Amino acid sequence: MNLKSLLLLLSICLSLICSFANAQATPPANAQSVMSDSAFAAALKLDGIRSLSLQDRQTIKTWDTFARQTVSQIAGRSRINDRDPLFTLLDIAFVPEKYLDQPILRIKNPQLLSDLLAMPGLDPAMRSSIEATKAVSLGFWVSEPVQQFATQMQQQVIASRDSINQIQTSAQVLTQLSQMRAPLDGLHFVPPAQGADWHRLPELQANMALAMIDDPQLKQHALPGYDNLRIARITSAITQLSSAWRNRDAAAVQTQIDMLARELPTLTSSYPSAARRETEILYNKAYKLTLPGAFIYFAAFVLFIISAYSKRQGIRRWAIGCTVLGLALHTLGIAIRWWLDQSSTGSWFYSIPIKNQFESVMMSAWFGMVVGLILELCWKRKGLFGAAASFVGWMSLVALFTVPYIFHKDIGNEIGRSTGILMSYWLYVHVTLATASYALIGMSFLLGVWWIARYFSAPPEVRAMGPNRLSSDAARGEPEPQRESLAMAFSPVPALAGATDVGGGGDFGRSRVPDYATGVTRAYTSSSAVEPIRALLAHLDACNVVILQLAFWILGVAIVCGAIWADVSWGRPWGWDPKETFALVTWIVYLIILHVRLVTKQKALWTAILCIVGFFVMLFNWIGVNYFLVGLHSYA
Amino acid sequence: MPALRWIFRHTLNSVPSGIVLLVLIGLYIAIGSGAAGLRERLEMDELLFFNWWPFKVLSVLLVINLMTVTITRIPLTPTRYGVWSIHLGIILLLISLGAYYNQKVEGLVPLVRGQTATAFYDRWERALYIRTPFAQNSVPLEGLPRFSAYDEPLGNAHYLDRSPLRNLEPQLTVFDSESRQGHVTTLAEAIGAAQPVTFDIIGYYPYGETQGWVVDSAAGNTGLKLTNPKGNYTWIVASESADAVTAISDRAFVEHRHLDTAADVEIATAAAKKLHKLTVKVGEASQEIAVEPGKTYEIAGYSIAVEEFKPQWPLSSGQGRADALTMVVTHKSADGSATQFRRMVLAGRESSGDAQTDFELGVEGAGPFGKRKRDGVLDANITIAYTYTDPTRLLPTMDGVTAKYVLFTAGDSPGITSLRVSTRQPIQIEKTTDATLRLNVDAPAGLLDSSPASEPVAIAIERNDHLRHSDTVAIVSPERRDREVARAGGGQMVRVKVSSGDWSQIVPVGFDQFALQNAFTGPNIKVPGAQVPFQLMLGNLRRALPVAVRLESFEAMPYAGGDLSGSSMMREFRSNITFLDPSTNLATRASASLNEPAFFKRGGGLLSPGESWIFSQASWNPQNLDFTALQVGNRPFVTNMIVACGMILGGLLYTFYLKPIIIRRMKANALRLAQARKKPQRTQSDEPQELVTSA
Repeated sequence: MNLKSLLLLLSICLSLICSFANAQATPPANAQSVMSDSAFAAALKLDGIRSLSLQDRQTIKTWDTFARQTVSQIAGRSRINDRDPLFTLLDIAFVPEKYLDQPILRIKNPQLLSDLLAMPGLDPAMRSSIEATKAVSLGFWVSEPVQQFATQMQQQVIASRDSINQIQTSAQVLTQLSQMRAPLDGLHFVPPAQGADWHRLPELQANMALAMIDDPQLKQHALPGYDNLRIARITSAITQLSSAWRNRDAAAVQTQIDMLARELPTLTSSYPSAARRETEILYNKAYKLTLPGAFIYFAAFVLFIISAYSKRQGIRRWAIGCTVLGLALHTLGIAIRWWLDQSSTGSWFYSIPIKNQFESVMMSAWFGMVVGLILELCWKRKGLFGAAASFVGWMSLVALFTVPYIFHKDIGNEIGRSTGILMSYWLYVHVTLATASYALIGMSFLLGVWWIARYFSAPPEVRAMGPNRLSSDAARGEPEPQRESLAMAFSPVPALAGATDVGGGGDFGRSRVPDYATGVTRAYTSSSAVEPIRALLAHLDACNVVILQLAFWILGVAIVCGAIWADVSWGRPWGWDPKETFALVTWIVYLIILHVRLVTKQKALWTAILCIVGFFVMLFNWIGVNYFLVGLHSYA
Repeated sequence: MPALRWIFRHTLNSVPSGIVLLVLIGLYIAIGSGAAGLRERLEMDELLFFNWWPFKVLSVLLVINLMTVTITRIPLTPTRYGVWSIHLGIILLLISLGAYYNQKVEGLVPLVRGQTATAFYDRWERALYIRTPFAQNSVPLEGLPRFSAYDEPLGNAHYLDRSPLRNLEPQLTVFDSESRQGHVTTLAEAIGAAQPVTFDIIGYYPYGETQGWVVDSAAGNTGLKLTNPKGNYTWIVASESADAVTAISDRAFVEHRHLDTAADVEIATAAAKKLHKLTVKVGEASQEIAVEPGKTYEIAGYSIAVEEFKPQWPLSSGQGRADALTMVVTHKSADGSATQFRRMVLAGRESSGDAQTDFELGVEGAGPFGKRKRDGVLDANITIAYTYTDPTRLLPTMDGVTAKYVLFTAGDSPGITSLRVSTRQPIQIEKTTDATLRLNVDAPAGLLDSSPASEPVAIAIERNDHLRHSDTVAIVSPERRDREVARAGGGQMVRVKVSSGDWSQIVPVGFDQFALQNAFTGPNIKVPGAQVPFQLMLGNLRRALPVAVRLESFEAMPYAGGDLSGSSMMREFRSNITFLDPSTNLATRASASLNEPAFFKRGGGLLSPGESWIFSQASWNPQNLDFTALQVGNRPFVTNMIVACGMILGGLLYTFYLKPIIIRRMKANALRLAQARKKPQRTQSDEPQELVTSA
């Protein structure tokens, strides 16, 4: 008999004993004396066990996270019956019969919903219930006619497979929770040593039983490092908790919860620290810092826009302050995620959060913010770089909040394991560079839209000005700021570092343009009312050129790195996969911009137009390809 | 000449025309990748579309434009090194890409632990596989469409009217068991057909499924139409092996047999009554009787109630199986008392110890079958030997099947004879003299209808003497199409016309990704006069590997907390392989894991890049960890492409970020130089003036 079967046998025996004891300890509750659900839920303080750790789907997480994810998976929303997910989780585990006929399995797919409503032989009362709640009960879903219908649908309409599988998975999760032989025995408990296997409660109970057997052959199968006395106390606490929960005995439940909260973290020395566990709860409560970050970036964006039109230098300083604060929160969000994931993988390198859509958007926005802030601080372009960066940061974090939390769409917002092919250093190089370039393309898009909007809303005399005076050429030849040598050294446009209003405080009316005829720079101090508009357009274009050149180069490197990774991973550097080809098309758009600027007089206008085109091609590549085309980058 | 110069200046030597080319290339790529429907209308996958002549023309024009513009318009000065590098990089990349796709082959090599593979299945090209009992081979189907269905009923079969798909005459390598030598021969020779056997691909379906039909045909055969009370019907035709039998339920089925004469039917039905023969010895007296389950026989004071026939009954000794018959034996003694026991007798075991086993009845706790007598028998006075003979295979012998209705027709008689044979009940025979019969079927669940029924169902049977089986390929409806399966080729079907002399047969042939590794699912094709049949299968084309590969072991490594079941997320897969190079007889160990492929290189030197092959980990089977599939492909010109990319990115870096510094420094130097020159010049010019003045 191998170890697994032996442990299983022992665990069944113990579970039966536990169940028997449980049944003995749980006399049918007197209906009158039983507390109502609301009162019972209100009387409990679950915070003690909320921050306990467990392992689920190969990821270490708190009970709070597990409960939230489980409820969300079952119901497609964050709560069932408006109760705390942890309460719901325990209630399903201890009083499963209550949930059998509740319509809590959400049907998200409208087509499946209408197909289900049209199912022959469906009870009219059930039909109206499904129509009203857009959900079905476990009892209904697992009934034979519905299962036959689901199987038939899956065979006949391939497109319905995913939506049916989603409900099947929800039903499976609910069933697993409600059919545990002893409550909570499906959860994995922290092992005594880091890297060791996590075991479920029945296995630990079996281990406890092994300690009582004198057979040395059997004893060699014992799991080392566990304190059996403590396991016995935990087992007893869970059994009593189950019994008290069924009786709605809040005081007894609380006693056992407090007991578990004390005992479990001390079960093994490798238990995740309290700081880590509490941080995880806070991180989740704060929507993974997406919403706070989005608010701050939005404030920064508005302030940067105002500063671009205002003479008051203080507004720009406030905008930069907001950006720094937002970036700090953003960085904290990434760092926390990294730290939390590290406890599951055991490796800092393989936990870098850039493995799914949520993480790549988060990282992309972060790179955009960092680059935008550096450019803003170095070149002080009246907040144009800052506005572009904070726009990207704001939009990205809003998307990261909205998609999973409002539309309940899984984009990898929960920390979890990724497919093995992504565990490569090439991922970090390729994806980091690609997402960084996407952020820059987003910034370039804003500047392009801004330029076009301002250009076409400007008085006719602005449009009648020479094209050179509306593009970055207007800044060419201006004196270079001596105290910004770093900026000069890396200036993408030869004279860009010689930006106007270096000292700040001025408006665009005091900008300078070169006199190409004499080669001598002269101050352009037009008294015309249109001069600020002209200058703004020139500076928008100048900023855009800086950003698009960076984006172009970084995207080029990303594509090449992707090709090298594809060569070693898929056996070919270039396979005309939609993700590859649309990245190349985006790159070609920017290649066209660079050449268009060489041959056209309206270089700023064409740049703005093509930057918008490039942005939409990039957006299609990043998001659209995943939904509309079939390819190898399904996780990207 | 001026016109040519104008064309040269405004096309090849023009930046705007270069931009136009870039726009066209961008659009081409976007359409080819984004508008898959359009590409598929042209019957092209990504590789074909991006290897098509319009794309090649655009690429060549861009290369010429870049070369011309670079040489004529961009002087090779330090400030323009970056542009030169970018342009040369793009030219090199485009040329290398063209060469790469010209020479690139890739595919999958399925590997089983301990076995050596010498070939792989191409990713794009397909082939028609032929398998006889002694040999197998394939014929490449170059130009076979991929995305749309083509067939005569669809009105577009002319698309398939091209040489690689018509008049295919496959050759097979047949191994002589004595000489252990293989020799190449034609299919006709391999199967013993008198005339050459050829194939024509007459239909292609990207999403197809076979549907068997029975159709009226003047030159057809006799068949029966079974209709249930709901009006649903099916046909059974004796001459079509695939259609001769239909299931009534999971425990009974109906079979049609067509014999030459009514007398043959009589013989066959009479034989059914002699399937089970018992030789009963009571004391010294012996008697041989034919028995049927469900009937009772009286022999020398013993009453033998035959209960059930148990085909292939597993022996209690654990050594094999035997056909068995169970019966309840009752012995009435002179005083009127009766003893009863159950006996199981095994067919053909007269002399062996376990030929008959007795079971005591009515023993508490023994179960309904009775308590087995372990040594000897309960009544040694009676010995029963059992013979089971069923040369025409009338009785059902499958596990769980208890009854079979054999419907006989005869060539010289219009009637139908129904023979019900059961493992538990006596034979039942019903006859009609006309072409219809009404049969009460007592195990009706599932007959022609999935709805269960508890009552016997009356089946109307109608005879037709002009029937022929016809297989057609139906297009799978769009909502039932599985694109994931289709990506690996699943669902494809071809209709093949097999011809030999005047004879021909149209066969639907399905697809298997690893055709030669698995059993063929198509029907056996028997060419008239041939000694053996053969089968066909559509699959990906097998190509020879540059080196033999043996899978030593395969490892799947889950993340912490997972296991090797398919439900756990895997951290890594690794195939440990050995390369067995036939040219050097060298064995080299290597391993291919997710992001670390195994490389096989041969040749190469200073001037020749040699041969480079990559083996990447591609797939696994959670149910069978001894199996894996590696992606294999050659890597022509990959180094050139990497160099080209380096030139482009280096050039961009130079142009964007180093050139401005160089220009600034050059300007500063020029200014310094100008100032330095200006001072002495002034001095020189002033001095002479002064001198002149003074002079």
